[in-house]
Amino acid sequence: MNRSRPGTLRNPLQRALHRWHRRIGTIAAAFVLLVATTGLLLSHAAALRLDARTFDAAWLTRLYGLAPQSPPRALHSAAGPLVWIDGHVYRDDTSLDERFPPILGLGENAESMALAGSDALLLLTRDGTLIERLDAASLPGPITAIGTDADGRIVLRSRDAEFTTDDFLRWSAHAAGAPVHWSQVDLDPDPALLAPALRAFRGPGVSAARLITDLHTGRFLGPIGPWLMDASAIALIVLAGSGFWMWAHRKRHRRH
Amino acid sequence: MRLRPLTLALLLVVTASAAAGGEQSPDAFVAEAFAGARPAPAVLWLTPEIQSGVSRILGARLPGLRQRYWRAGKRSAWILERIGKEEPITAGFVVEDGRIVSAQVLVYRESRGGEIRFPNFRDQFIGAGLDRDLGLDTDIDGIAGATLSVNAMQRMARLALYLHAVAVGDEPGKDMH
Repeated sequence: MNRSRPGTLRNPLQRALHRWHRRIGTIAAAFVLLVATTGLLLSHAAALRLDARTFDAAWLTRLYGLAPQSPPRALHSAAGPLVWIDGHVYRDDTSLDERFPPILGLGENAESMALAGSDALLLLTRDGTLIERLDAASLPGPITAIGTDADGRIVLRSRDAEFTTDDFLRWSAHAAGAPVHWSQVDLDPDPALLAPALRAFRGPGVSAARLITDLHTGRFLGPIGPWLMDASAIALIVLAGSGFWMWAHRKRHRRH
Repeated sequence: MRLRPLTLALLLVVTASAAAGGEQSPDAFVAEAFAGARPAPAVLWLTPEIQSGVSRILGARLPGLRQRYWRAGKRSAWILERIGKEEPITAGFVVEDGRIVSAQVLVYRESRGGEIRFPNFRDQFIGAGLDRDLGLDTDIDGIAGATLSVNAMQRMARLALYLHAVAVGDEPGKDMH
């Protein structure tokens, strides 16, 4: 009978187990290192102040959906630039509204300004303070344009008719044929003009705690990430089991 | 296409349910509040004192410098908005003599908790007034799974009663009986 040297694998099952133990270990190593490292960091999150540290790199804000989904719009006003980003309206970095339709234009008179969307209007003071938001029920109809006439009155165009108001409570027909300077929105605003609004829109960025947690759970890799982490966890269980089995077998083999 | 009886029955049930708990347009709400004789809108300028009362009810100030409402005599109608869980709920309240006479959900945007639109929930607000702590003097039964929407409706009801009292010159929370 041929006897193998002590310590060598005598049967196909043992050889296969070793082989797969190595393979699974190699594949899972990267994920295990990631989970272990991020886990260590998260265990000391408070001491490391991970919530306070933020990252606002462009690629990261895009990945986390913090970048605008639709092209920003802007208007110049007596109170400075008014910027629209994905439903948010900003005066500099101050939010005026968070659910506003794409802005169509701005009407200005001596006392106030009116920023128009298709079914809403923001009534502002000349220094940009919000007076009131008017929804569809308070408007004469869907807005297609806004402007100012020769008398300095704010005029809305809705369904091929024009309306004006003194108090934004009651609307009356605007004199037919009277000239109106219709406002135009800037659909390709200067990046420098957008900068304060974009900073307000993105916020401080992604916190280190959020980023490390997403790496730890695999969510950083998208929908497949958590599944990969689950597979790594199963691989670790398999490695632990196979490693224990091999250790127990070797120990038994040495006794004999 | 011929509908099978079961399919037709299901369609009827769904349609009836939708009609019973449906939303109402703001225009229709205001018109109904004043029996078709819709008054011109008025505004309540939100002074620091009023905003202080608002903050006690909402935990925050109302945005803007003024609040629109409609009034005829001792009756007023208010269209208010409050975040439920993530989306705003638009509701209308009619107040007369310091008591709610009608509560309507005008626009419901959340994906869950829409049961607040149904009459058996909304009717609980009828007759409710404000106590001295600016809370409702009526208990409102909640709805399982719609806690945040229920809370939003309660806060808006309190706000409507408070603003009505301020608008008509009453002391908010004064016993109206």
